[in-house]
Parts: sequence; C-alpha cells; structure tokens
Amino acid sequence: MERVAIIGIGLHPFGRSPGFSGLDQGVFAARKALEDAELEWSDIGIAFGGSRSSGHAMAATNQLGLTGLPFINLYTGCATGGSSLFAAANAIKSGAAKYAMAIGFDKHERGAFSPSAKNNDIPPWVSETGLMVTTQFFALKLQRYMHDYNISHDTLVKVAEKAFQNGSLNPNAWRKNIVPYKEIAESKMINDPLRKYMFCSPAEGGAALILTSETEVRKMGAKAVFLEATEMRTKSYGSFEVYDTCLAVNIKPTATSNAAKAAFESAGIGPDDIDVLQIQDTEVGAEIMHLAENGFCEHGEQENLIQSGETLISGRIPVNTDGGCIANGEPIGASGLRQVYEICLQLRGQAGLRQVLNSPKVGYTHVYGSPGVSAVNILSAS
Amino acid sequence: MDKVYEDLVFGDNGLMGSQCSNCKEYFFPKVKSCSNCASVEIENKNFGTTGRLWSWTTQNISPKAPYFLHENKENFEIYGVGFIEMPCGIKVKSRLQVSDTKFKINQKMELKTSILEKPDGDTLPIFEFRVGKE
Repeated sequence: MERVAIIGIGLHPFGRSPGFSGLDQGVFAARKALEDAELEWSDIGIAFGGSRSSGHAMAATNQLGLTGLPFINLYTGCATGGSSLFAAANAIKSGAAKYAMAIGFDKHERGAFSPSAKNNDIPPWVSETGLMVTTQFFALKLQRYMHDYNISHDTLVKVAEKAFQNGSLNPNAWRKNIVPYKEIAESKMINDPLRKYMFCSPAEGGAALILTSETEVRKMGAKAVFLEATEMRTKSYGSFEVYDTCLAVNIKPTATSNAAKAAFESAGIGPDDIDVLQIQDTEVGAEIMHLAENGFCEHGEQENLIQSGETLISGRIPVNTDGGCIANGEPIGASGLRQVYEICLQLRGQAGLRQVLNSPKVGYTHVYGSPGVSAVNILSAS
Repeated sequence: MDKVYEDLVFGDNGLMGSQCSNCKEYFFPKVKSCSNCASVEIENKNFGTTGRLWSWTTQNISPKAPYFLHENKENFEIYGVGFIEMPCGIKVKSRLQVSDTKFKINQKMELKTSILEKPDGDTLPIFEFRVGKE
C-alpha cells in the first residue's frame, strides 16, 4: 500500500507562554509547518485538530484563514495528538485530500488534571471520595509492576534524570535545567513510589504536521519522512487502564500492546529495527512499562537496559530524546504531535545537540491517554 | 445518607458488585451490561469483606474538586489507594486506611465501612480497607 508522507512540521515551544493563548500557539505551529512544507494554508484540503482546555481546534481557522476546508475537532485524552495524526493519515490514504494537517494545542492551569466521572460513565462517588486521580493509576500500575519484575527505585530516578538531561539539549523544552539525582530522589512524594520530579505536568504548547501521499511527494520532489504504520487502539476487555474501578480475574494486554503489535505487523518492521523512540512518559514508570508493552524488551529487562544507559541519546535504543513529557510538559492536544515532530527532526538529521549519531533511519512514537487509548507510529527517513 | 451510594456499594455482609450471567465475569461497582460479552443479563454479587492487597499507593496531596472528604488543603490527611483481590479473583479499587507500617502486596485486608460528613452537612457512607490479621 502507498505510504503517507510527512512533508511539514511545526512546533510552538512548550512550557509557559504568558500573553499567548493555546490557540495562538497552535496557529504559530501551523504556520511553521506550512513554511516547512513550502505550502499555503489554502493548499490544505482537510484538517484534524484537538485541544482540551483552549477551545475548539477549528477556531484556529479564524487566524489561519477561513478557506472552508473540512476541519474535524477530536479529543481522546492525552492521546489526542496521536488520534489527530491517525485520522489525518487515513484521510490521505482514502484520497479525501491532497494535503492534510494534524494540529493540536493547549494551555492548561497548574496542577494535575481533574477528570470528570460523569464524562467517563463512572459513578460520581468515585471522584468525590478521591479514587479518580490519574496519577494514582500510574502509581498503582507501577507498584505492582516493580513487585512482579524487580524494578528498583534507583531506576525510576534514572529515567527522570535522563528526561531533564535531554530537555537541557532542547531549545523548545519547558524544563531546560538538569535536575540532579538527589533532588529527584528526595522530591516530594505524590503517589508512592512516584515523586514530584518523576511526573510530567500539564503545560502549554502547539504542534502541527502536514501530510500527503508518497506519489505526491515524488511529483513535488519534496523531502519527507514516511509513515510505515499508524495505528490506534482503545482498551479491550480485561486490560488495566486509567480510571478502572476494578480489574478482571485474568488481566489482558493493554491498549498500548495491541496498538504496537498492529503497527509492527502492518509495517513489516520489528522493534529491533527502530533507531530512535518516543514513548509516553506521563511519569517515569510509564516510560519503563511502555518500553515492554511496545515490544522493545521483555517485562523486567528495563532494569538492566536503563542501568546500562541503553535508553540515553548515546545508547542502543534512545528514548525521548527531546526530554519527553517530563521535560516538555503536556499540552494535551499537542503532546502526541510533539513526539512525531521530534522523530522527524531526528530522521532528518536536524536534532541539533541531541541528534542521535549514525543517521537514524527508522523511528517510533507511542502516546497513551485516558480512558485507555493508545496511538503509535512507525516512521522512516526514506 | 446517600441511598444511591449505599445501594451501589454495600450488601448485608460485604462489598456488592455484579456478575455476568453469561460469561461469569465480575464487576465493581454494579454494571448494567457486561463489557466483556455485552450481555445485559447481570446478577448481584457479594464479594465479601476480606481480600489480599494486589497493589497500593498513597495520595499525598489533596485531589481537586469534586473531592470533598477534607474541606481544605490545611486539613488534608494522606490516604491510601489500592486494588484488593477478593476471593473470587476480581481486584476492587478502594481507599486504604494508612497505618505506621508500609503496605505489602499480598497482605490480608479487611473491609471497613464508615459514615463521612459532606461539606453541605449531608452524610456519605464510605468504604475502605485496612490491614487485617493473618
């Protein structure tokens, strides 16, 4: 089947941008992506966009131009950016448009998200009694995982340490300062075993990607990064996902495992072929567990992988080279697109101080959102 | 007393949930249809009062609204959260009573019910698990 190509990428720096709305940051990213693709907004034939806290993504057309294009707002929790790309890629595959845009932006308040029980078909007493807090889910999943697979507290700290190291090499990151090991290890406990500096925080930012078909790229003679696979899955029965009020007798593979398996199958590429990765790191445990769920190691092997530096930029499987969610923060609409932006930079050899050496050829992205949504992409440089 | 909450959670002797009549999967709290086989033939199931700790964490900072068990951040008290594996095998999410010692996975847990006061003066029955005697 013909591949989908990414011909334009744009990002508004993540973090805090006083005076700029979330939408302003999305428009900024869209203009950057258009400039990168050498296209005009009027060339875009269809767009998919998402935002949780900054209004309807479609409102960006007020600034970009009211061209009358089909523009679909979507929302799938923290996986929103992944879903926008999934939808835009499928629109190109279907022939619905020559050029499609996936765009996302957000501007969140400080502090953890406060999810709605009602919106998730959960009785109100669950949140009223303090049992519907997303950070609890990560901690509960991780606590059991550490018990079953002997993951150490030291390894948790090392994942956060790497995130801030990589963030310090990324001019677009929110957290650009290295946080020393001791400071992470002694930071305030939030949900045992997870401490303050082990979490990503809601933030601000915007990202946009422009897609077209492989045929069109050849005609244009443009440079592109190709999508070898783009897959999205929601939770299936028996998996352990965020907001679950009970877990089945027999626990089944997660939405992440199912999406990853589908992507590797449709691409005909294996985890060993991937040179650079973006893995959803809502907190350090998520990065650790998602490494195995995505197929990059067996459960429990993360301890050695991380301790021996294999996930560093200089390692065998560099993970979250831009600092990930931990150093960039999480503007929900944009986060999944930021991951793909970084992989495109890496595959184009434009990642500056954090460039993975020896010209990486194949990259991977994974985003996870509530209430159990996962979107993954396999990308290649040629 | 919040009758809805009571009906959803407490039986005469234990935590109440559902079992699918068709595929026999368990659910907590009660459900209207089975998310495994989609059957709408659902029976009530009493999961009992004791189980084993399957996983745990602590909530060290106050959740945002609608959480109301501590009226303001000043009087917030750390509480535990865990999944308790009940004798039938379902793992139920619950508040945990915090004690001086750290929780241990697989330790025995007992159901404890209590009545809490809501900010509007109304009361809410609440369940939690505490470490039990082996």
